[in-house]
Amino acid sequence: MSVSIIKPGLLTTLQDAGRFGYRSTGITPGGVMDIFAATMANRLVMNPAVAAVMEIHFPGPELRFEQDMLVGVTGAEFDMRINDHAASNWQSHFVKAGSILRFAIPKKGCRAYLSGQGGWQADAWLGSYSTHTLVQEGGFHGRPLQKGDVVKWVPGAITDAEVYEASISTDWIAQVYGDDTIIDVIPGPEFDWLSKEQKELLTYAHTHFQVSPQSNRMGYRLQGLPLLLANQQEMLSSAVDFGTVQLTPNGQCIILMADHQTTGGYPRILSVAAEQLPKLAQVAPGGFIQFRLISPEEAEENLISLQRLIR
Amino acid sequence: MTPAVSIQPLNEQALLVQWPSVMDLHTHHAVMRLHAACNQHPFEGFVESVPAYASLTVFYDVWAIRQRQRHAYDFVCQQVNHKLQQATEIQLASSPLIEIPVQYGGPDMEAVAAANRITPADVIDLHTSATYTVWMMGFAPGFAYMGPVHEKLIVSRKETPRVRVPAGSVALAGGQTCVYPFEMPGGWQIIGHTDMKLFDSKRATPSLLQAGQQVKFVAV
Repeated sequence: MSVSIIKPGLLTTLQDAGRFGYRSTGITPGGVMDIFAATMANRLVMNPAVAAVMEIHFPGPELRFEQDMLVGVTGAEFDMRINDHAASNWQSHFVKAGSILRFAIPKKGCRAYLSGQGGWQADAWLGSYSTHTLVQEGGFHGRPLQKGDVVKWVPGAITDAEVYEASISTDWIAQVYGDDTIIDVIPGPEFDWLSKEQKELLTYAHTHFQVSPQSNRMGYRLQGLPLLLANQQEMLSSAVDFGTVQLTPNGQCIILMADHQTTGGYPRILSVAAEQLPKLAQVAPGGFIQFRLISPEEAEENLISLQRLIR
Repeated sequence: MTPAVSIQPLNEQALLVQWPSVMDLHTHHAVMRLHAACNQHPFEGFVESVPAYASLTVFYDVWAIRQRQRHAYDFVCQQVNHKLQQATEIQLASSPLIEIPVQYGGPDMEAVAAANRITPADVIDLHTSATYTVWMMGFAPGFAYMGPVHEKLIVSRKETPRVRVPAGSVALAGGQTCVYPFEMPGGWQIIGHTDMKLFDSKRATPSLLQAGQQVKFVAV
């Protein structure tokens, strides 16, 4: 049972939630950028949460289905078409053998997720299907999909696939993404290296940062008012994480994303609240964000609210 | 005796234990003792800990902890403070010495020698005569920050990092030495090459090195 890759798209990889337990040898967890959309894609087709999904950027891939298959699509609004008919986002779709699936227009967001009933067959490395592109392990032979690839899948539990329908609650989608560009953050370990004025400017509602074109799964390079430290202290390298906001010597910030390096030597001035990472993952290069400071306690409560939806 | 550390969030899923910011063996051993204490008898919800020069970051599963605790962060703080006490009793196991065979003479050998007014032969002599401690792992899978190096081998990073450093390159920067496990961009000064595989994804333990190990370089 398989799909053929007619066009691979800009960056299409097989991912799951990531590989944990190996940071201390420099192996980053990796995994999906948007854990909510990816989990919902699996849920749409009754896959276990750990099944591999396709993470899709725009331009997206073009797939030919060799057999009838049930899929789920979530995340960015990329105007998915099945044989040129519009197929709604955040829903399951039954795709007949011979059909062509593609993504027509990047309307909103940055990453879409495509699940296959039963899960895409992927290589496991250190207990995870996520693609580690430097080591070249996990996912589809440790690399992004290419033209001509054949991605296999194994049928899942659903027997009435032709009439099966599922969709994700719009309330949940609204809860996770909201309709603004405000990203909640908590102070990072080196937050106090900033002056009082810099702290206020950083988290002021009208201070916008643009996600530059040099942004990707490793990190978002932000462009905005420079924050130059009065005291250019050297920092000994220390652990960082998905969502850590680093201040670089030129005064610009980088938000580390899913494929971040495990340690870094730049001051960690903020951490994006984990509950907001799906929202942040859907901000495309060129988009603007603002930071809103919340307490670590509030961040923990918000994370629990998100995990209630996905666990 | 209470260690002089501070504890704060890195984020809501990771807690940072910070020692005074120096790169020395005393601090390194304190970090490694706490790392051992956390890993030997993990508290409920512990995921992993990451040692660095003067810090240990403890990653935890908020959802799992919150099944039984009111606040995950408070719980983990308590656990880590407990581990800090336990850590003072821990004897760090001494790991076997790892010897890395090196063909000396990389693209930056002359520059490194000239910068410190010694000869390439001196560089080789000094680099091979010390036993190095792996301070921490990071930057890339299997990448070890090792030191301290002899003062005549102290050099700064290259002004313009190379776009591509060959896998196996042996290098120096900032009072430390390393081996690049993969072909990747890099700014350290390259003085040699090893055929030894620092990282092999097919091995049960892919990384040859880990924090705390002792390493020597051997000229071949």
